[in-house]
Amino acid sequence: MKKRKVVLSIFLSLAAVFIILGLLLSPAYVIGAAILLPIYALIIECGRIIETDEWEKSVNHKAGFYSLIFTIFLLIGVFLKRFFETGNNPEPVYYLLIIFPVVLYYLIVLFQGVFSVKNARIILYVFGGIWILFALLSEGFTIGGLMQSLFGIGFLIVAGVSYGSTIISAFLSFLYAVFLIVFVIVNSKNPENLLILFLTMGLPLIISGTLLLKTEKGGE
Amino acid sequence: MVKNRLKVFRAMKDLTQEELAELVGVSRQTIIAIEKGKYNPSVHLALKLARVLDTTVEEIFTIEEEK
Repeated sequence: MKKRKVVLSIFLSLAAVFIILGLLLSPAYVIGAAILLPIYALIIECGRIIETDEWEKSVNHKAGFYSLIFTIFLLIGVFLKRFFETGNNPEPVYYLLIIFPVVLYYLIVLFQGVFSVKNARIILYVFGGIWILFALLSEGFTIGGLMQSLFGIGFLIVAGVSYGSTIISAFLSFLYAVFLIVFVIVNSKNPENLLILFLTMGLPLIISGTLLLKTEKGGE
Repeated sequence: MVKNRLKVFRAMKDLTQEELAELVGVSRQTIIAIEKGKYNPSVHLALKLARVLDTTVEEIFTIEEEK
């Protein structure tokens, strides 16, 4: 308990310093105080520096979950405001801000599950479906649209192979991830696009490949 | 819904929330949350509580059928 009070005092003192600097110099310093909160939450979560019990962790998780939901709604609001203000498609960074927490959340949830093969297939079907839908909605039933939808079809093929052999499916998943990273993702026009493509193409394949391998080693 | 008689068993042992918390290795807030029924402890903590209070988990925690 003493240790906890010391750590908490340090964090509160630092936050106070940042807030005072924010008031005196520039509001940007307040960000420093905001950064302290996730750091403190991580310290609680790992439970090494401060001993935390299960109830405290559960409170921490609940707070994190509701903050995430609220943040996503807030980001969608900002995204829509930008869209209606300019009348144009918002910049990639707006998509990234929404996609990143959502993708990360679902990947973590699926990774925690015990049904590895099922979760790997869910990832492959969802992201494959998204890419096919995206290609057909943006390009229509044209040659270009059908060519673009091949990216998504690749995901579905990997999922289909998993019904026969999870190890081959895992291998294909990693191979396809490498192919997309080398030939598609790294050729992105800007860093935001690169990150969006990695989160929606490369990362899901790497995660599903890992889940399929986990199964091969004795999972469900 | 899980109901508990933790407060009764704690009183029978003449322990404060702080003392019980110390004995099972959690914070006082956790004991308060359990006693108020706001939090259902893990099997591990439930077993620890039962051991410290010289009783069984079933004696402390009971499932109340929802009507």
